[in-house]
Parts: sequence; structure tokens; C-alpha cells
Amino acid sequence: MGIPTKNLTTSGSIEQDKKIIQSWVNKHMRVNISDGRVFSGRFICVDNLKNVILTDAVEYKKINDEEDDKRRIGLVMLPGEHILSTWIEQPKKLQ
Amino acid sequence: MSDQTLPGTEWVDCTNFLSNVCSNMGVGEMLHHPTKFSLMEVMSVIEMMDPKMDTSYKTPRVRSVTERFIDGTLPSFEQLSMKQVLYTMDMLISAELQWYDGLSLPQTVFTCLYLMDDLCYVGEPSPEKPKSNIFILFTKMLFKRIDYLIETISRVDCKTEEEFVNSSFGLFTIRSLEGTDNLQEDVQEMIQHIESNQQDYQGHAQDLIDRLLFQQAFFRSREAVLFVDQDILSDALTYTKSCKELFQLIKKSHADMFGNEQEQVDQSDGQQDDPTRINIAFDHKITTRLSSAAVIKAVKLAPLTKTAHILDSFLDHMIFICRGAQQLYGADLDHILRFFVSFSKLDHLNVVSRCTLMYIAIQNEQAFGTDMKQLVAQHIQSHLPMMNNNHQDILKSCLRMDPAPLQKTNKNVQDILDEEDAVLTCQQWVDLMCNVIFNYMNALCSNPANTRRKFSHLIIEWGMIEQKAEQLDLWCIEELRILKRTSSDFTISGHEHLFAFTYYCIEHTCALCQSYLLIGFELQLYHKTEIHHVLWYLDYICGLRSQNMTKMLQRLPTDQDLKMMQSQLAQLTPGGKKKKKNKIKNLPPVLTVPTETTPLQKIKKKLIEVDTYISRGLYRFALATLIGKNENGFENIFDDGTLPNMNPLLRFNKRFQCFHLISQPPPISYDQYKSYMEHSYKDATPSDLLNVASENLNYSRQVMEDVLLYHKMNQNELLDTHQLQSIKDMIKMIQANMISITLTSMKMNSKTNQSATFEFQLCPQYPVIKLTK
Repeated sequence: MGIPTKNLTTSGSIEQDKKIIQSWVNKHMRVNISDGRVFSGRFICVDNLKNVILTDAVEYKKINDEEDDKRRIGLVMLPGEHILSTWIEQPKKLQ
Repeated sequence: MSDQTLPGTEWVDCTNFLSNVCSNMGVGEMLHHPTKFSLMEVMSVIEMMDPKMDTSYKTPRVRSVTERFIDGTLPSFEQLSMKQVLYTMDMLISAELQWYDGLSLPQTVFTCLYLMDDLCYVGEPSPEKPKSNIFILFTKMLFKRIDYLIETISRVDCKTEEEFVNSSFGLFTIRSLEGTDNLQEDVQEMIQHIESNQQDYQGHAQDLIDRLLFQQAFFRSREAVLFVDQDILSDALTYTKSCKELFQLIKKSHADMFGNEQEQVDQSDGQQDDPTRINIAFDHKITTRLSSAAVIKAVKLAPLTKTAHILDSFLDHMIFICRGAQQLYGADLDHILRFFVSFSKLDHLNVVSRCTLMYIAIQNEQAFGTDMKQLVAQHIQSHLPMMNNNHQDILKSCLRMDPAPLQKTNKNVQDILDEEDAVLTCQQWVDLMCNVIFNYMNALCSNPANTRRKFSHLIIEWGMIEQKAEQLDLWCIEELRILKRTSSDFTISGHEHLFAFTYYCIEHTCALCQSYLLIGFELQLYHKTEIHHVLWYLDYICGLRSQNMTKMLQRLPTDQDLKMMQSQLAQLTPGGKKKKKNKIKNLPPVLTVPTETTPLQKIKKKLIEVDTYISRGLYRFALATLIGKNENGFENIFDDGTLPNMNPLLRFNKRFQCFHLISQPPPISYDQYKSYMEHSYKDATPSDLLNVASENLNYSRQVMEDVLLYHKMNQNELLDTHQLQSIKDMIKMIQANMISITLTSMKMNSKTNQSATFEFQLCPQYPVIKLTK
């Protein structure tokens, strides 16, 4: 699994932060959920319960240290309560 | 997993950032694209960690076929025993049948591990692999047949998404279909090879041959359906019958071979690694490995013993279709529609047989090889045989049946222009009817719930058609008036029917309304507290239909008719004085006289009359049971205190909603129904109602028997097989209902305190009363 290179920090203004999240729409996001599966797809939506919707999602399930089982699923909703971590694909210069 | 990001980008952990922002959002607030995010998308989403939607949730990992092949848990096809090979073939037949029943291909046929990745786990055909060769041939015919079936069903629009999944999910490709051009020769060669090398097949050579021949016959019948015409239908019929015979042999051999082991097979888990398991080739959980946007759950397949009835029914339906369809090329519209109605009443219809009929029947906007317009025109002309010249001329012009332009004398320019409008209106009218008849056939080939829904739309369409028909009739009447006024030698010929087109349309609308109400019984839609409403409305529609039929057959009187009527009147009133009850006052505003009816028209009138008396009898029975407790201990069975109160006005209007969108037949409101009830049944007792119900049904039975006798007297030429069967079924239904009414009446009169309860059972023609105690 990829190690995140950077952590995102809040700007202090909630409205500003919401706009940042809004700018993530259609960008690649990776979500790690509680049963060990990882979903990678394009970010579509998030709500106040941290439920995340991804489209063109691919599910990765670990077989062993070197191999993952891969399965294309499409439009998925990942419940906020089961999300362990999320990564967003960002240009290198911007945070 | 790939960690690769696009060039110039990197992964950034936004876990805490997202948590903080979300915790500050309001209830229900969402962050998403401002425009490209709709309710439909949200509803299509698959929720992870939900057992119903997430097929990977808390399930152990299912190994791929490659992994099983490599580690030896899945043997090569050649290593399988003959029994395993035969079980695999039988299971594939069973899987296909479950696909017909609504499961998808990945859940059925493609749970066979040896079919994965284009048969690569079977390998290429080779002389050293006799079992594999047989299996490859068997599956090629299967794939080809699936391909034909998907094509057939995709071309007709009488299925819902839930009924049939025609997507192959990319699980078989062109490669799987390669080499299917010479299947018949290949099968013959293979059979010869098996017969010459019987020792290689451990006493199962004949079983293999039966299965190959079955698959071939099944494939050929499907191929014949796809390329259908009247001549090929006879081939389809032959192959289907052959399928049926071979399937009986397969069922028997399956029962002999696997009868004792079936229970063990049913209990075995797909993940067990025992290579001697009889169902080694199948693992239903392999479905969960499929990459698909749709949720495809793993479903354990039923063995052939439990699904054989699906194929038996399907083959019977195919024989019915092929046999019937052969006779329908060149038949009239009535015959065709009766065939569709008979088909829709067969037991255990599935989506494949329904779509097959629709596919065979309608090709290139023709019904069984005849242009729909032509069928409609013939139907109009045969059902309005005494149409006046105006009706005939306008229909011919509209359908271009008479290429010569209309030659009318004494016509000014304005009349000619109006005539063109009339022809255009007629063209529109006929086009609308063609469309509605296509939709009617489509509705009959849908499942009952869909049929009812489509019927409700068709009722509204017939309403529009009837309005066009009224315009045509008014034009024809105006023409008649002009002719009478301008032509000195004009006389009524005795073929002038007023509003012929309109009555024709009303007849069809009423017939459709009747079918719409009857389907509700089949679907068990009606609550017991509204059954009497429905039966009353049915009685009302049938009554209107009967009156309409009478009016349709009324014509304008000729001079001779008028003279005869005057002399009859003179005989009734001696001395020329008028009696108090003047019969002229009872005549309709426009004087009409009945026409001579043809034998077919007589039968149709009788059958409509029968419908009226049956529905009236059933209504009176339902009403009798609705009336409250009386001294005979007859209880109000509808008084169920557990049900919530429902406003009967709302229920009545909702139930008959679609009838309020048309003007003919005139819709009835709840208040009108109540006033009719109060007027007609104010002092009726249950005993009276049951007696009259019994008389109504008895009368209808007598009429049916008269119809059969009349048919016999006319050299058995009046009714076709479907009509005869329908009449015989109706007589049985009437007799059953009469017995129930008699028993109810006896219980009521027995002065015990026991009440009679009943339910309406499903019946192809009409509801049957079944007493439950």
C-alpha cells in the first residue's frame, strides 16, 4: 500500500476548507476501510457523516504481502464509520 | 496494488482534514459537483459493508480458477470421470434454465469453472482429449444458443430488467463462438467417433450421444426462431419436439446416475477441494470475483431434477407457438389476437417463451407476414360488413386499396377539400389502431403486472382513437345529408350505419376495460372489501358492450322498412287513434332498425351477453355476502376490524382511475355507483341475491351450450380451437361457481350460526368462487 507523502492541514476557515474539498471532485482518491480493503476511484461526494462516494472504483483485497485481488466495481459509497484513512491525488507543488 | 499517480502528482493524506471539515458540516449537507450530481446517481450507488449490496463483505476470499488449476484442486477436464463430465453437462442445462428464470449468466452458466477465460482450462480440441472435445462441442452449441437468445430477446420490448438479464458481462466472446459454422457436421462426426470407441466412455456412450443430440436440437430450434419465416417454423417445431423426447431420456439417465448422490451434492460447499466431487466443475461463489458495476450475488444453483419442469414447460410453449404460428400466416387479425390471448393464459410462462412469440409474430412491422394496415382494414371491413358507401370509400382511399380517385358528382370544391381531410383523419385513425394493436400484442407477451399496466395505457389510446372515429363518422353523416339534399334520386340503401366507426372503437375499448379488470383477479390485487366494486364495474362494462353491439348493428331504415313500420303501427292502433303509451315515443331520436346478423356476429353477441350475466351473477353473490348479519346467521365477512379505515370513495376512484381518462365507456363515479346500488338493491336480501346470482350463472351456461350447438350446426366452422377451449373452460368455471353459490345458500338457510367465507381463485377466464368454510 502506498505511504502518503504529505498530510493535509486545515486552513482555519471552514468555508475555505469546504471549497478545497469541492475542488477534489473527479480527482483520484484512495480510501482504506476497516476490513482491510482499499478502494481507489474518482471522488464524487462526501457528507457530514464522512460517507464518501467514488466512481469508477476499483477494490483491492490483500492476498499476501505482494499480491492484491483487484475488482472493478463502479459507483460505490463507503460508509464514514468504516473509513480508516483517505488519500487524495494532488499536484506536487500544491497542498 | 498500483500506487502510481499521474505524473506531477502525489498522494496526500487527507484523513484528518476530511474528518474536521465533515464534523463542521450541517446535517444532510453534502459536498459534490454543483451540477453533475443527481438523485439518480445516488440511488445507483453500491453501499460497501452492507451485506445485501457488498458481495465481498465478510466473505472468505474466493480463489481464482487459475489458482485452483495451478494447485491441482481443479483437475484438468480429461482427468474427470465420465459421471463428472455428464453431471457437468446436465448442470449446464439446469444453469441455462435458471438464467431463463431471471438470474444472470455469471450466476448461472458461468459458475462452471471450465468455461472461464474462453475455455482455456479445457484447452484446444485434440485427438488425445476425447472428453474435452465433446465438452467443447457441447459448450459451443450452448454459447451460440445463448447468443441467439440474447439477440431475439433484445429485439422485442416485452421484458423488464428484473425478469431477464441479457448482458453476458463479457464472459463469452467471439473466440468462444469461433468454429460454430459446421456444428451439425461436427456433431455427426463426434457421434460416430463415440459409437466407434464406446470402450473409452465407460458405458456412458449413449448418455453422451443423447446430450449432444439434445444440445444440437435445442440449438437448431433456437436458430430457426432467430431466422424465422413460415417455412422455417416447421423446422423449429420438429427440432423442439426432438428436444422434448431427448430431454426425457436425459432426465431418466440423470435420475439413474445421480439419484442417490444428489443429497450429498446439495450439501457440499463449492470451496471443498475434493477432486472426486460430482459437482467439481461448479462453484457459485466464483461470481463474486466478477468485476461489475451491478451487484451480482452468488446464488447456489438448483440441480437438473429441480429445474427440469422449467424446460418441460418451455418446450411445450415452444411447440404451442410453432404449431399455432404456422397457421397464422395469412390469418385475420381476430385469429392472431385470439392466439395471443390463448398463449397468455398458458401455465408457467417465462420471459423467454413470451419474447419468442413476440419475436416470431412481429417482423418488419408485419404480423405473421401480413402488413398490419392490411390486417386492420380487413378487420374493419369484416366487423362492419354493412358499412355504407361513404365508410367504404374513405377506407379504401386511406389505405390506397382503390387507386382510382373518388368520383363524386354534385360536389363543390369545399366538399372535396373536406374529403381529403377525412381521408387524412382515416389514415391517422388506422395508423393509431396499428400502433395500439402492436402494443396490445406486446402487452399480452409481458408478465401479468406489466400487462395490466400496459392495458391501462392502451385504454387511454383507444379513447383517442375513438375521438378520431367520431370525426370520421360525423363526416360520413354530413356526406349522407349532402347527398340526400342534392341528389333527387338518392334513396337509403339499407347499408347506412350511423357512427359505425365509433361503435367499433367503443367495442374494443370495452373489451380492453374488461380484460384490465379481470387481470386484477389474477394478480390478487383486489382487497376483499372492494371485490363487489370491481364486479359491479365489470357488469357495467359488459352491459355497455352488449348495448354497443346492438347499436352497431342498427341501420337507417329504407322506404320499405318505413312502410312496414307504419303498417305495424296502424295495426296496433285500430281506428287510427294513438294509444296512451305511444311506441314512437320509445324510439331513439334517429330511427334505426336492426340488421341481419351473420352467424359470427350472432355468436359474438351471445358471448358478450354471457360475460354480462357471469359478471352480474358474481356481483350479486359478492353483494349477498357483503350485507350484514341477518336472522339466518349470515355474517358480514368483510368486517375485519384489524384493517385500517379506508375512504371507499378514494378507493373506488383510485381503482378505476384510468377509466376516467376516456369518455367512452362513460366513467362512473362512486356517488353514481352508490345511487345505483340504493335504487336497485335497496330491499334485496342475501337470499334474493343468491337466488338471482344462481339464475344469472345458469342462464349464461345455457347460452354457452347454445353457442356450442350452433357451432356444431354450422359444420363446426364458426369457432376456432382457441375459442372452443375458452368456451369449455368458461362452462366449467360457471358450474364451479354455481355449486359454490348453492352451498353458500344452503349454509345460510341451514340456520346454523356458521358463516360462509370464500376467496376468489385465479382462473384463466373469470374468477372462481372457492368456499373456505
